[in-house]
Amino acid sequence: MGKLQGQQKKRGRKENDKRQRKRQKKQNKLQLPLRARPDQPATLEDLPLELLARIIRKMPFPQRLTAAGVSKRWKEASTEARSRKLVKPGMTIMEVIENARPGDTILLPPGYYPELLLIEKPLRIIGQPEPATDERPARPVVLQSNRPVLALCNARCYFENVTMRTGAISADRSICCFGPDCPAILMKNCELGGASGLLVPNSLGPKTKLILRNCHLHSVGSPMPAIAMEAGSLTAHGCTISDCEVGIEILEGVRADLRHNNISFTGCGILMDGIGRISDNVLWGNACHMQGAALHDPSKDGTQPPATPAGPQAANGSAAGPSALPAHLLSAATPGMPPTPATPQDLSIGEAVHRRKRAHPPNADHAPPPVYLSNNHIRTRERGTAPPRTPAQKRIRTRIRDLTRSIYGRHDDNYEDWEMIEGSDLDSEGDESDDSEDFSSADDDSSSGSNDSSIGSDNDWDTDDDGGPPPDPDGQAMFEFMGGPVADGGPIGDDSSDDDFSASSFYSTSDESSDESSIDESSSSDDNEDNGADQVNEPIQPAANANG
Amino acid sequence: MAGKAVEVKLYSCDGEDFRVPSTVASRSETVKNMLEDTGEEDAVPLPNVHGRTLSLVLDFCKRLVQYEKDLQDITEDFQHGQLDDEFNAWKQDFLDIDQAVLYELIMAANFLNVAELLDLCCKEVARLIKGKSPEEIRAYFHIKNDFTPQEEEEVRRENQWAFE
Repeated sequence: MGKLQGQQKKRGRKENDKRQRKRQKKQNKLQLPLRARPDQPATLEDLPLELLARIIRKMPFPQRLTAAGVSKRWKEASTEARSRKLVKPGMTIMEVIENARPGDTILLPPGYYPELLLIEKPLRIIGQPEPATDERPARPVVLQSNRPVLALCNARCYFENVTMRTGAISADRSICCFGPDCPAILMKNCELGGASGLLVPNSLGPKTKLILRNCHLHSVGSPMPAIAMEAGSLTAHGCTISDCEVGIEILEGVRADLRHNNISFTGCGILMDGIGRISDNVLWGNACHMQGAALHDPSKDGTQPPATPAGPQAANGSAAGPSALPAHLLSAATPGMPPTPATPQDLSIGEAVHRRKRAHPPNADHAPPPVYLSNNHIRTRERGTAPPRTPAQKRIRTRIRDLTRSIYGRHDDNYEDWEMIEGSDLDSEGDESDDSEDFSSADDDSSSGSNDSSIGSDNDWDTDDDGGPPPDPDGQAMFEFMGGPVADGGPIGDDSSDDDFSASSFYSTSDESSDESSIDESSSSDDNEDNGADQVNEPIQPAANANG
Repeated sequence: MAGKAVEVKLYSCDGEDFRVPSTVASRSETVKNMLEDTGEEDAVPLPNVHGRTLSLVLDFCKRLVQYEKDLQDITEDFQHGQLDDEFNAWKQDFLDIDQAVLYELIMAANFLNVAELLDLCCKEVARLIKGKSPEEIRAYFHIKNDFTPQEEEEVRRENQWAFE
């Protein structure tokens, strides 16, 4: 009994001590000053970070984000105020979207999300793909559906590191749709693939913005362009577009800013009827690189060329200054396009545009809309700049052909597609019979045998005053500068064969391919095609040297 | 006797003492916890809340308690809206104070853990910030820009999606 009482007393003392310690702790906490300078009037900067974050959280979107630009402390508070919601296993993205506040960030772990998104508040949707390692392949964030509309954004939305795929073809729907209250969709590092592309319809106002940065659009089914802009404005920087019927279609009244894009293997790279800027793009392998009412040869306007220095160095002191885009270059595979002798003086289409604006009063019906073109590169067969064919290359081709035959057998002569590749390096008969071929002279032959002096005009660096090649700061030796110096003797690329990747040259007739010179030429072009991918950064060689 | 509220004594840092009903003082979670620990007979020292600020906090708590009591007493729905309007108008008058006092009030509300007051004051400061650019916010609140141009550009780029 006595023992029990002793234990109770002991326990009571312990509890008292505990209570005392707790009280002391609270008293100590109370003694802490609320702010660093109690003698001076309080300012907003005296508030602790969590209180500043609490204030910022009370602000509406997008003001919450504006606060981040005030100071480092405010940036920290703004970051704390913004919530980031992770889509956990077993949850759908829509569940998270419904619980998010405007301006929140939704993080998507790598995986496959077969669901449709309806986004009616401004949100950032950021995928967190895992890169490939030695043990496992890369794990992307894939949104996929069999419907043409995968995401409908009825508010400003930002997507990053997300892959969107659809299996349905639709010419009047978009894989990522604008709702009536959506002012802008911004996509960064996204991949959009599948049957439907991106469409901004005419029903949306001119203030609608589609902004794409470093995105990859591909495999959009015919007749849908990868990006079709019927209204609003498009900013596409650093995007890759390939394997589509049309790359980018800009209709009249739409403003476009297309820079540093790589557009390849399309029926038409850029269809431009709107206004804006197209610069520093690389177009290759398209049946037609650029087309549109807004892109026509300024020399046809009847306006006088500007009194600016001619030559590739004219504009910015670089070879890739503002340059003209002669009509025959715009449509590389349009045989009906009459050749237009371009002079070195109409090199600046930017100048030409401004000149047109001055020449025609603004209300003139026939005044074309201004489009600023500069530094775009169309990759073509470059005779002057191609590396000379070497015996080593020929040995490789022959060996590959022999090994291929040993495994796959001789190809079926009735298979008509062989006609297309008959002249290519892989199965070039020319290599077999032409052992004594002077490899460097092949280009000479094709150059001289051709009825143009056109692209050749790679040689026409010689026409520059300095007589040497232009500077090549970007090392884009395998590309012809659009609107670069042109030959006086003829248009650039007045025949479709000048474009290695144009449909007409690619699907050449059997008659042409059976011709010795044609074989040589096409194999030469194929050389360039093969090498071009790897040798983009090779410096330009002077035409004279390359041709021996 | 049962209806009479017990009064508690609160001391501010400048020695002012405030006698308030425990129902009012208990709107502060901090004071409520202390009262539970020490009992309602002991005075509660609040050494880092100034008398002027504590007076405002207690004013708010009194009005809040009154509002909640009134809400319980009403019988008609339309009276609910009327009470809300009255309380909102009172809050507007209450916040007609200097910015320095407002910040003191935020810190006191945070320390005393009066959620409703903290919410109200934070909303008021957010209202002051609303519609201002970063430059205007800096000028209005006398904040120094400690970003380098590169950092400023980075922040701008990061948040561009909301404004483009």
